[in-house]
Amino acid sequence: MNFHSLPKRSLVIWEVLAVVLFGAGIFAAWVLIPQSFLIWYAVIWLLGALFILVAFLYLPLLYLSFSYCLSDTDIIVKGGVVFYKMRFLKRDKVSFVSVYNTPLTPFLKVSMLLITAPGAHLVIPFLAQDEADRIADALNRRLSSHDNDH
Amino acid sequence: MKKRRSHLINILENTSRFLILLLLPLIRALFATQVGFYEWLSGAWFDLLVLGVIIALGVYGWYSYTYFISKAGIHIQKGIFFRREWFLPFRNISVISVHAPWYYRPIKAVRVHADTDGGNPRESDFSITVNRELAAQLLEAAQRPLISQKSFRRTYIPRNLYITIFAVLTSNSLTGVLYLWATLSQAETVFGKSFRAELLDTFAELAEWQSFGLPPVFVILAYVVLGCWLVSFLKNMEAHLRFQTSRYGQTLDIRSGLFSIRHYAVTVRRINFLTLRQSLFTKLFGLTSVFIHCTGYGKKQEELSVLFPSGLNREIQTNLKLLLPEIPFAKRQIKPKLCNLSRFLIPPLSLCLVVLAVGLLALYFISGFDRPIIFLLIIAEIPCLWWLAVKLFAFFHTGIGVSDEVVTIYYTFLYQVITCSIPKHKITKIETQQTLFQLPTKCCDVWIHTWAEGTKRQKVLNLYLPEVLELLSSDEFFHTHVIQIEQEKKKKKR
Repeated sequence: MNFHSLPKRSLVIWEVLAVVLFGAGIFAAWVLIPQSFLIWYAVIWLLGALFILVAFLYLPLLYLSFSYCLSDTDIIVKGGVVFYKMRFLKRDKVSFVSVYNTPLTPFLKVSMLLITAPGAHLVIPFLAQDEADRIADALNRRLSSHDNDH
Repeated sequence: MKKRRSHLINILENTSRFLILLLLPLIRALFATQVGFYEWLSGAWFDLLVLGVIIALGVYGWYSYTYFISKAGIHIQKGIFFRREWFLPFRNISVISVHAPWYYRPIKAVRVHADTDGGNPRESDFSITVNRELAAQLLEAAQRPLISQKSFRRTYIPRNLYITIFAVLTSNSLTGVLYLWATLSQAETVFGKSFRAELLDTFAELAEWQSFGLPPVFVILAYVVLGCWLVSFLKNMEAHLRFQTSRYGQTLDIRSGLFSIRHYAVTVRRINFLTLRQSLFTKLFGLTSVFIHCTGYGKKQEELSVLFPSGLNREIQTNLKLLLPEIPFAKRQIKPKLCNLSRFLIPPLSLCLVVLAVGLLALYFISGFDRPIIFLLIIAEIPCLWWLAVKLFAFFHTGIGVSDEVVTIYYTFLYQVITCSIPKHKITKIETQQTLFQLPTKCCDVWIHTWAEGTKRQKVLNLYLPEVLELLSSDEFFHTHVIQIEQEKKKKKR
């Protein structure tokens, strides 16, 4: 059984998003807090330290820990830094599969896959677009060939 | 097929949704006080028009909702301008409930709800008010495929003592507060504000008279909590008196209620799991309550999905084997390691110490209120210590067991000691989670997601991860390759 990792561009997108988010935070602080105040320096230092932690430690570790696998019986997703989780969803319990695309999908080539089962769901974010379509097709094919009623 | 409509009382039910429109005549009347009676009377056509619209909307709601029952299921149509049609096959219905409130009994009307595993998690898929006879026909049609000719009825009727114990355990002051609040608001509307003032004065006098040397505010608080709990208790008693559970073919018939009668027909194969609930007290006395999870049962507010209200453990075991042999219980095969005992005790111990510290600080800094502060400290410490006792017990109770048919999980939630048996085919997802603190001892929390309308998951805390993987892998919940990969990783690390 092969566990697949997310495409490398996912990590790049996360890093870019982190830069944008922290940039927005710094801009908000610049607008809202007078620059001469001590609190301004405290907020900037705090945001900077947080950014370094997130961008250079948390996101790479999250990327490395995340993997998924489609076996004959289960869909398995592993990952997490502070909370390491292993999720096992039974393939025969899948109700439907959704692939989420955004206006940026044609450029970034990443999609989000949401697998829904009664009482549970499984999310694989930032998946390569063709891989997301392939998994969705595989699961849908099985759905249409099997009666899912228990 | 002949289309049917709901009972005529449904017009009144529908109008209640539009009563907010009565604010319009009220606002007009307020303005009319400045211009005089005759001017108000000359515009009375507007009030009559609003009343007419409310009644017309009620009639429209009644007229546009039709249904008919076929051999396969219920066909429903709703709306005239925006038409919606849907079909509920009997084979997909999990629960049909028939509720006869006491005020509907003289006109022989009942409320019928039918639910499937799909649809809105908060509402029934089909609900209608019909004649009692029509409800019986619907029930009979729905149950016909589930009852073979060889079927015979097995019934369990609990003793009133058990129902009283159940009502005591499931009553809480919050429900009573909400109920009393609604009643008092209505009483104030009817009798005016003087009624409320008079009630509060009487209450204050009573509190001063029976204060037992405590400040009156605590006595009032105690009376309010006790009174609200009593209201909740009486409501629960009324709802569960004359309780009975019958197994007939592949259905469970559950009836209860003294004045308002409730009848549920539960399809056995649609039951998602079975839960035994105990508190430390009931555990000591060997008493258990049994609940089931099935879409549509226990869905409405203040409704409990109870199978047996309460009973002695041995009695419950025997009756479960008789009425629901499809869901047995598996013995606990894995349990937490002794090194993880602290993970059970640290949260309640911390809470106990925090409450104690706050109380001592209050005693040190606030002078002249020693007696009330000590009283409050003792009151606040009791639930914390009780939680500590429950968590200590949880260490010996927590675990997972697997048999051929079911997975049984043992855990505690707040003050409840829970044993839950889930048929294997009802488990949709299993999740293990490790925090950074759990990594050194290889301890993990296990989440088990089960078949339900929304997300339904249960958590077993602090189990040993290799044991969890081994137990569940042997049962094909986890693919064997996953275990191999984990073992290979361990070997590499060594």
